[in-house]
Amino acid sequence: MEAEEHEIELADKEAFSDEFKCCVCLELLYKPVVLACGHISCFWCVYNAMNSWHESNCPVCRNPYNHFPSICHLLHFLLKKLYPLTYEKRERQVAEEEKQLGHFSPQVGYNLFGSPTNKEVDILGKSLDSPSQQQIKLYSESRFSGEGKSSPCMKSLEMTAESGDDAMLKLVTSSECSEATANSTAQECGLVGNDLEHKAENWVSVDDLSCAACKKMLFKPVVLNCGHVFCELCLFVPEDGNFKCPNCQSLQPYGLPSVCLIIEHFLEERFSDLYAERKEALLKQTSGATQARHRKNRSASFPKLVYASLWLGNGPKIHFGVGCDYCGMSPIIGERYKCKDCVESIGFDLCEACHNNPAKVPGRFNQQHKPEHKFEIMQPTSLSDLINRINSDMSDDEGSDATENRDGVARTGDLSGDVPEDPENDTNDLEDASSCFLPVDASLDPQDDSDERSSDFP
Amino acid sequence: MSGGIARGRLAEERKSWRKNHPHGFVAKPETLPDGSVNLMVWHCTIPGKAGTDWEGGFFPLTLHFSEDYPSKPPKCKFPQGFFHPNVYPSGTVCLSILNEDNGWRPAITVKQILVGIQDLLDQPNPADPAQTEGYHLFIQDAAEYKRRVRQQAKQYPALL
Repeated sequence: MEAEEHEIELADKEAFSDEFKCCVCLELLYKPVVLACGHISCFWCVYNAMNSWHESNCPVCRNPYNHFPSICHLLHFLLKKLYPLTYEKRERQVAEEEKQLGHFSPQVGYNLFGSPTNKEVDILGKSLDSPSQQQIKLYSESRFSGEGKSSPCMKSLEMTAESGDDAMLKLVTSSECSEATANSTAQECGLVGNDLEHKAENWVSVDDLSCAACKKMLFKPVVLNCGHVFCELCLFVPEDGNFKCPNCQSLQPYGLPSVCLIIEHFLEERFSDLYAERKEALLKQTSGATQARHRKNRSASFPKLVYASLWLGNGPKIHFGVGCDYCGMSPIIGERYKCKDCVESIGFDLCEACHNNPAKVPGRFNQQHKPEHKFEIMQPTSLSDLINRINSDMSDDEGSDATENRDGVARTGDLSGDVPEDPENDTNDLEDASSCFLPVDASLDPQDDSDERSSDFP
Repeated sequence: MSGGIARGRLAEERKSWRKNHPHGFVAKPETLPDGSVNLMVWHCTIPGKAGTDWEGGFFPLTLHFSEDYPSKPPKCKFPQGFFHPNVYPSGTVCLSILNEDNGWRPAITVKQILVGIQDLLDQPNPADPAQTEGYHLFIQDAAEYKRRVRQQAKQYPALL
């Protein structure tokens, strides 16, 4: 118990850069997800801020999107290395929340208390025999072998804090025995220095930040919907828009995403010389070539109008509150395939495209879906069911504001006769429109019924 | 159920506010009669901007956070009957960044909300009126509007 408290204390001292603070929960990013606009947030923070009725907006810039991206493994491992104590604290915290919720975020790479699996090596796009990979393995083993509660590494950290150089020396020699390269040993021993954060940062190497295509250090990093990271220039978006991740072959809904500036800043700061070198080399290479790259207008992949088909009764089927477990499309537009054999309460659903091209990724919420599972086609919830659901959990305070809004406008309108209407304020329109369909006095409130939704997005 | 992130985020908001906040502003969670702190309701004070008719006023504002915060914005309320074109008779502030479908982003902090409302005080948005009196005086009788604003600023002196 005391040891645990001590860990938390240490974690609090391990100050992390504001760049890696999640803008939603204001804590260290945990299981980071990068949206097409390049903004980062935690897995659950993005999920909770998503809209199950129509397209969602980035929590930072309101850029619209339809697909819930996968966790960015590269960032996950980077943060874990940079701030091991805080990251572990977050891990415990989130695991606790997940246990209460009964829904789980996907496991990333190696299960945290074991050695790396082959899959993880794939994800990182690196081969097992590179020194840094060994380093990770070594580190993770020493660190997490003790069920994570009070790992040996943590103890040696504490020891160092107390007894200073002697303990540090011991750790160095022990790691020297198992490490091949003297260079990386020097880096690793930095971890146990006095200035925790600063030294731990030293330990991050270029290998942790390499492009999955060119294998060099990332330059102008972009993170795809599947979570894989590439140099912007390493990606090519074909004319027909059939843009797939070179690593996992998953279809990319938005064309080329924006450069993730937070990763870029980090690279510029940590590896300033190398980054400048990369820049110069690439400038020479691409001089003369068109810099106007294939960035389409990166708007949502479905027009807003699509979602109106619920009311208009035309257009594709929309499965409100249900997301695709492979590509992340939410809500699913078109056919919905529901797994009949997955037992998790959150369910397992696929969109038509993903059903026809099954990917090898696990479910979004850690469902144990197997290839031999059977699917059934589900029809979207009918309009009358939706209205019933809305009626049943309409909260009163929401209603009063809507009335107020309309009152205010109406009254001023009576008096002056020419109240200017705000063209941007579509809430009034929306309320008016919805009141045509709904016998209730409030705007459609997608988040409110979250408890009742049976399917994928709880 | 949403993940119950609201309280965690508000605790972080409080930490960052204590570390540093704009001069003259006050923001603190409500203290209940039994001495416990309710993070879901914050009592704030917004100072009128220097050099405007609002100067000298320290306007009380209450932020009501829901369990869905920060997916949904807090409801921001001045006292009932507050004089401003974009404040409803009930005191609720009408501002694009506080509208879930319009300008709200979970990344907006308490600090940004308060500064945004301070800006709104002297720069009302006539395209989005919320009360009759404030709106009419604002577009029809500038002199009277000014007088009312100054009078209101005097009604809310600095709390000692």
